[in-house]
Amino acid sequence: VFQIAGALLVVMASGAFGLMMARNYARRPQELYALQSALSLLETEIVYAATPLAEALEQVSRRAEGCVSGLFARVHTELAAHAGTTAQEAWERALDHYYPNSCLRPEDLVVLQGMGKVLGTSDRQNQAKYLRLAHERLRTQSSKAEDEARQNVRLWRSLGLFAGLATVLILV
Amino acid sequence: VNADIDLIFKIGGVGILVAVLHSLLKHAGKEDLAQLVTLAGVAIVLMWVVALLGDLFAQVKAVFGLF
Repeated sequence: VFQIAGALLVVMASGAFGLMMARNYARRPQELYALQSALSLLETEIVYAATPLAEALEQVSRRAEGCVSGLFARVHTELAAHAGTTAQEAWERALDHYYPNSCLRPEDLVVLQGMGKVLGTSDRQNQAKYLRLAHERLRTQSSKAEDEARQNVRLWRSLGLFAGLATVLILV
Repeated sequence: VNADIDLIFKIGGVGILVAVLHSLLKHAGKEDLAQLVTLAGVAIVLMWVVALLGDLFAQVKAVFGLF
């Protein structure tokens, strides 16, 4: 009886691990899409509505989806918390906070950090250009991520289960 | 005898799992990993079987009187 229970536990644990890995792969393209739409929202806010940055960030955080909304809300609070923080500092601090909980890769982080450098500096046209650049980069990144997800999600899902079965078989 | 039958079933199970894993990994474009899994399967089964092989050779030696 103990043997069967242990075997079930092992299979379920490694199956769950596989599902978790699969979900990580599946979530990355979604997050990248959410980031893209948030960036274009920010761009419209800056270029057409000419909203002040703090307010624009709040708007975006209200309309963005999922944890991306949390990122922009965080930038807003960082910006509001201390007088004298530049937008870049706030952006980087929020990214540091956001990145470990996200499924993003270092290469995505670099894109976002590069974008933060011009946030709130220079004129609207220039910022819009950089926002569009980041948007474009995220798009190539997300199409790559999608390919990866298509390959890896199914692989990890079944790999976890089969690895568990193999472990049980070898140990019994 | 019972243990031997068990072993045969275990080997069969490992064979099936390794076959599935191999095709899965190959499908995902990780051919090198697929080869590695196959090799690992062979190694594990060999570890189980090697003692029995030793028995077999000892038996053969005993039967034919080759001391």
